[in-house]
Amino acid sequence: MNNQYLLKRLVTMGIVLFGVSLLTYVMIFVTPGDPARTILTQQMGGQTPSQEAVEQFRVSEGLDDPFTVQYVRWMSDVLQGDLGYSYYSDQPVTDAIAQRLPNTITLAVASGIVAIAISVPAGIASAVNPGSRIDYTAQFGALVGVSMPNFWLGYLLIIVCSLWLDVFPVAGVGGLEHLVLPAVTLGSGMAAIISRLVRTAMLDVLDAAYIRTARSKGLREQIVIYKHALQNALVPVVTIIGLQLSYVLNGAVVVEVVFQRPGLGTLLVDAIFARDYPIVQGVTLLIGVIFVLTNFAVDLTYNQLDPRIDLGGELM
Amino acid sequence: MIHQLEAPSLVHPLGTDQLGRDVLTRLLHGSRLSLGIAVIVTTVRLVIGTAVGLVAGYAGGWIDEALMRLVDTLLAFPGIVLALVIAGILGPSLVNVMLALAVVGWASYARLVRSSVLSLREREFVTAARLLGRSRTHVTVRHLIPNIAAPVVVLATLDIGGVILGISGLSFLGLGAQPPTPEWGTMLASGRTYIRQAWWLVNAPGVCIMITVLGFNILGDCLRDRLSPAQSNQIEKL
Amino acid sequence: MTDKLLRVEELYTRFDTDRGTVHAVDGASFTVDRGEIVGVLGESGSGKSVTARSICRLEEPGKIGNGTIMFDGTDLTTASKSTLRQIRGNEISMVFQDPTETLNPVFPVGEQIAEAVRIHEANSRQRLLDFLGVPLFRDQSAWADARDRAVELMDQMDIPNPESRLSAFPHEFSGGLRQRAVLAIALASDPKLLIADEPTTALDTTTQADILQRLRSLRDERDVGILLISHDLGVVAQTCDRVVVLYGGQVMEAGPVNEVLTAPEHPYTRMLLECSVRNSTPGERVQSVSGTPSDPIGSYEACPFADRCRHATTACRERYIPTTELDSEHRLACLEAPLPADDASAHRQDALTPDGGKQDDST
Repeated sequence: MNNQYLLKRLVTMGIVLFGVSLLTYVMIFVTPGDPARTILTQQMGGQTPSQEAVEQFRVSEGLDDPFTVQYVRWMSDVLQGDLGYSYYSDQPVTDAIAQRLPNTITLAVASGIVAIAISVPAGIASAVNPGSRIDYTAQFGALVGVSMPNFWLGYLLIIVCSLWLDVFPVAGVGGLEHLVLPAVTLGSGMAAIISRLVRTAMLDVLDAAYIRTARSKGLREQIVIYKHALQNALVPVVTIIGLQLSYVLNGAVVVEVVFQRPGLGTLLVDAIFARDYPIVQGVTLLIGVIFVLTNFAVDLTYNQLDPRIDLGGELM
Repeated sequence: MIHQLEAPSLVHPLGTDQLGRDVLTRLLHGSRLSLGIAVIVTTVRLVIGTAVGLVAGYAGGWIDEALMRLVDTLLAFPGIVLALVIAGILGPSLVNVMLALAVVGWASYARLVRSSVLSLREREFVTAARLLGRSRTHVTVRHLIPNIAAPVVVLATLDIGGVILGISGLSFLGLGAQPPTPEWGTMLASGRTYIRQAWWLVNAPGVCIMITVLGFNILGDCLRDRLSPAQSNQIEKL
Repeated sequence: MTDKLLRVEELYTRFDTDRGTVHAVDGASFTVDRGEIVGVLGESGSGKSVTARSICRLEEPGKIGNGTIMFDGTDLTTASKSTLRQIRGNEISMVFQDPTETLNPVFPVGEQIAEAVRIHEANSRQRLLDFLGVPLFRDQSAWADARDRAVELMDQMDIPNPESRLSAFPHEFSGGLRQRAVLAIALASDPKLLIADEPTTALDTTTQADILQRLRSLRDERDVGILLISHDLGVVAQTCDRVVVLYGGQVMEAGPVNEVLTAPEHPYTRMLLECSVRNSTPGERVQSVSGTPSDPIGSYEACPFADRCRHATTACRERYIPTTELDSEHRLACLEAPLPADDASAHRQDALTPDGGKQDDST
């Protein structure tokens, strides 16, 4: 691994993380409304605070300080793990997030499993028989998959599987049975994107000379495909699976609302409608940071899969 | 009130909603809205993104560096989540959702245009034009824009589907169009209350969104296949 | 003559493309026996690589339309997939052109050689999980043996420090080492027939000589039959016993190397010889073949070379060209043969005049 590249990549990541935090802070900073008044109203149990009390609160909390001072203060709090308190429940934002995060992670992992389980075999089947009926079916399925709004797919599954067939519960969290429909909803859209990519990558690889070598050795076709071709095709596929996190987080918001699952998505949506800005800020920052770190991790995984990439960024 | 929640029939092919309104009529009416908004949002994204990409690719240096870090930052957020937050802060309305989606979505255009400009800049006809003493504006308008138009249009076609999904998704969450506007996502959201009695209320707008998005995706795929493979790879990566 | 190791007869391989059917191999016949090196000579596009691949039935997406490929008593054109696989694993090995591309970049070289060893030895059934290396399913002792054998093979191929290179990846090898590794893979199965498709084209001259020397010693020491595909007259001349000159997917001339390359009877062979640098006297311009190979779309009902041939008559363009046997070894497909003996120099003279065709100094 090339240290210089790693360093360069770390610096760029630092800049983007800084951008993410700045953007998150600015968005809330420019929000209409007076945070001092909002917080005091909340603390006084709904009574309108006096003007002096508001002024005093502003000074004591440093809300009159210039933007940079406030941002630096916020950032140093954040770095110490303090994301502030919810306007409405006095609960630390970190606690609120910690409560909800496991549900979202479970959903993300489950839908990832669904997506991979559908897309990799479908993509391979397509690529191995290009132009066949299987290929066309898989490709059209993928096109429908990316075009389907997941909030509708969610309700469709609820109507068919819960209301008509009564196989799975309508909503909420609990055992595995609560996870199936949300995971399928979120996973199928992802599967559509991944299977197209698996197909392209496999088609590329199956054309390569080393595949001909593998066949000329007398290897079984199955081993040629699953060992020699798939491992090469995985490089771009893993990247895309990593980048699908964006899709998962986008989708999780909607899917959690549809299935009424308490997770990061519902936390964010509820906070937005309640104008609970510390929560909004915390969740947004977390999502941005998770996303940047994932991309970085995906970059590093490259090296593990393709020994030619020494993270100098260049293939030999 | 009469004709509430009627199942699909010859008179009402897609049934009626909780207020007795014909679902098909509302969907057709809503199509104008959804398509119009999607085209506007995509155009705004395209214009901002192309402008930023041209400037970054052509100016280079710290301007390029700063713009690309901004692009990286925007792309560091899942689009819908960021749009959700922005629209939420601005307050629920269709215009705010459009604004939010436009603001978060131009970054991929900027990236595509910039990389095209960087590769075009080295090409001979651009060098020749510059050696002839043509101004930057001249080179940009006469030589760069025509050459990046094709991939940008393909990206836009593929993007429209995403924008439609974004608008209806945010409307579904309650941030975009408000009832009684016949926006597809809003209709789906109001239909979910009656999911047990009237399954068509959720499914009709859902099918509508899917078919529209599917159409744009097929169109985009076809356009992309007409382009050179090199360019189609570039778009695929975004 | 049934004892030949490989007998290809009237082989047709075609590709169905959007623009029509391409007849890449168009009725080629030739044989390879044990302990001899047969060269297949031709320009790019002459169908030589497709011929090589067709023998192993690796011609995808092409289709074999007709003909027989008799290998050691088995007709490969009708053989089942599993028979083909066994033959590929045990009796016919292939070496391809570019060693950068022919080794799988994501597996260590040792693993790839050991795999070939295991395919040869574990002839019963190749289990997917065993080959994937899934810990519990991998037959560790068999793979350890295979790796020992791989070290042996690498050593035989003069790859320095074979033990330490076992776990190296292809990109860590030089071009020459890679091609030796490819040869090690090919020899892992102790094949009867080796098909080498331009094995030295991507290599520099010294490495090229080394690889060719190895091929010759394989022939002499192990009695392997070798089909050597090349566009390079020099390579064929110094390595092969017999040569098959291919053009437009058809055999133009075939026979012992010293006959065909010293006294060519076919206008095409003569043309190739004139273009060779080795044949030109110092100070003389190197000739280039005038024209380019015709687009091999559509089956030939005539001589494929007619359009570039200065001896061509209307008869050449109108009917199928029968193969004539000059003697039991030497045969050619030309209506105008035998050509006047001084034709070679006459042609050379002709080419130097402005009308004699394009000249390319860089060739």
